[in-house]
Amino acid sequence: MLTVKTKRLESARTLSAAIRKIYQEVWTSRPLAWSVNSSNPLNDISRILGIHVAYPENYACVCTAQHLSGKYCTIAEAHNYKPELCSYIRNNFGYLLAKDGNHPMGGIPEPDVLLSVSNGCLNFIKWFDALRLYFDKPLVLLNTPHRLFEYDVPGYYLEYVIKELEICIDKLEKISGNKLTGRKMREAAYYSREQGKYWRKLLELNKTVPAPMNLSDLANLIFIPTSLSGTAFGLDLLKEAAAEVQQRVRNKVGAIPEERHRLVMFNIPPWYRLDFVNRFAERGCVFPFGDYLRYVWCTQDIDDSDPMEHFARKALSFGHNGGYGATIAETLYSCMGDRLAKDIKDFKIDGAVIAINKSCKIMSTGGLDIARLIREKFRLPVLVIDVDQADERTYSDAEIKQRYDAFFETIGEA
Amino acid sequence: MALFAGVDSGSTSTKAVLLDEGGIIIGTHLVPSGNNFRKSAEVVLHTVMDKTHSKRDDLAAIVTTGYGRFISGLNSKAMSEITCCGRGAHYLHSAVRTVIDIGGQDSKAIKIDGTGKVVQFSLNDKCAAGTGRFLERIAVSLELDLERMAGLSVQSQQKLPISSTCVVFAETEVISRISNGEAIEGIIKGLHSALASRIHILAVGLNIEKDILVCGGGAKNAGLVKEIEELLGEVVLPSGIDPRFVPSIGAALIARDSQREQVESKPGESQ
Ligand code: SF4
Repeated sequence: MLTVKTKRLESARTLSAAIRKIYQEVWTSRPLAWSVNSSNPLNDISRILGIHVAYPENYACVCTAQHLSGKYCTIAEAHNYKPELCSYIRNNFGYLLAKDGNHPMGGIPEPDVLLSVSNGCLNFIKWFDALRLYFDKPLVLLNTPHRLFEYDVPGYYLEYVIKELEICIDKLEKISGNKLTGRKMREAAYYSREQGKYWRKLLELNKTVPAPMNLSDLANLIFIPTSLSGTAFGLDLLKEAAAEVQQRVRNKVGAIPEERHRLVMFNIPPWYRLDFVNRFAERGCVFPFGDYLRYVWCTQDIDDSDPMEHFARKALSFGHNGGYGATIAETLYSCMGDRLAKDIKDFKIDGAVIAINKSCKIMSTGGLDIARLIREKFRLPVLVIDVDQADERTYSDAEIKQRYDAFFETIGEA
Repeated sequence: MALFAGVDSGSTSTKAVLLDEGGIIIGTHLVPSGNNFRKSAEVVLHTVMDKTHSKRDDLAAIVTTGYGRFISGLNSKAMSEITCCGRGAHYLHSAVRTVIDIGGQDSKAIKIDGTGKVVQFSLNDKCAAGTGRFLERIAVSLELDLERMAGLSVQSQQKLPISSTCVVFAETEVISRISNGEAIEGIIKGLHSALASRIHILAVGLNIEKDILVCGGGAKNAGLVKEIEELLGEVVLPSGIDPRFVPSIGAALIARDSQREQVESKPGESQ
């Protein structure tokens, strides 16, 4: 029985209510797109054109948090979606193929169009291609090159993505029956940039001791810049959260009652066990940041004076902050090490929890290199756990507890 | 005289170690865990007390460890096997800096400092292929006991590669090699090598230092130890005691420490 809990942000409650409302509204909103939220500018642009956007990836997290991943993954596997496939996809197809119709928040209605982008993992393309066939609806795919080594976006990448965006916009205008206006694009680019600013601000505030937010707060709030990107509504939610967090900092209010250790978490958290942070809170451990929340999503400041360029750059920035796709290259080429060194210092980190997640190969590749880097270079204790982000069937509490306890004993919190 | 007990409720067996105030091991006992951790913990403790003609009233503190540590029903403090293993290994051989514990349920590589305190550790992932269960399962399908398997492996000049990624696949591979008429000694050596390679992965990730002590049920298997030595260099084995008792020795030592701490934190109170 956990006695210590993360002090939840009030603004997180507002956000939860907003998410519920969004899931209700999609039932009466047409046209509806299903999309991926990996800094995908097609989402921002679709919304301007009056196309509503829902995210099966995010819905998979919702189902997982409600402990339905076992059911959905099993159904998907029975239809030959292999267990090696990312559990978000298995959750999504399990949900679609389930016969009983009892789904969290009533489910998400069928899409009129599918949107995807190739800036993330290959699944974004294959998954959405499978959905295209399943629903027999058009797929609009923004094709972007992957950036592994270059820190400046090469001009020809930018030109290519802008051209790609123009082609996608043309398709989306036809689907929506609306024309894109310069004013709306400027507004969306402005909101997108401002949201980035507030997200960075939130992370910056979490460098404070005691940390005003725990990983669970950040994992909830990331919904805004990822899924409500380019909207005034999303910006307002982030501003509200930032004001509350600022207030906590002023009043020296920490997310957990007695902060004694500050840990960094690597990889996607297990959504069915987000309360794992409370087990750590009981031992005085808070997570001021995680690689997933700091390096994966676009957190750079991208100029918005030319909206098309802003969105093209944003699409090209996904995962380029490290983690995602770039993990192994960055670790081996020590860029990750340098940035991590700075973050470990700035966030006053004194230990790490590294999840190895068989669903997300991209996030997990290099995980053990990072473990080694942290042990050897920073001389900090590391806990490696084996947890899938969204397949609860693979979770073994006894095994995880054994690792947690040993880690707590190592850091003097027996 | 005050006594201290360490009880390790493991997946296969439950072990108890009894220490006196001077930290000398005065008794050990081991029983199969069965499906009732509470009962096996009680039985093992009872038996070790009986064997050493000790009185329950003399038992000053108990520490439980292993998977069943929270349900042992003993009036005890629970500690993880990793911490206990580190302490136990240091007690047996103070130059140890790395402990490789090969249990039924999991395998661990533990880096300790000069006092036996855990510095880093890594455990096998969810697959049983990195644990003692791997050999147990295959021993059943070969209709051999583990000791016999160890003997055959040590004798073999040949090592036939066996997949180390999955117990079920390895078992299929073993059966198919046998039906091809390949030498059983070579197959068993290949199996030990496959398990050793999984343990090697755990150890190198920690950048381990010498001396390396191998404990747990796996340490009783000379064939496996030989394969581990091929990958990690020379290792030491617990001397004069069954290697499965290392975590319970650590647990008993921690029980003794906790008693001392209590005494120190209550100055003026006599013991
Ligand atoms: S594999 Fe990883 S990046 Fe790809 S869809 Fe799954 S969670 Fe996302």
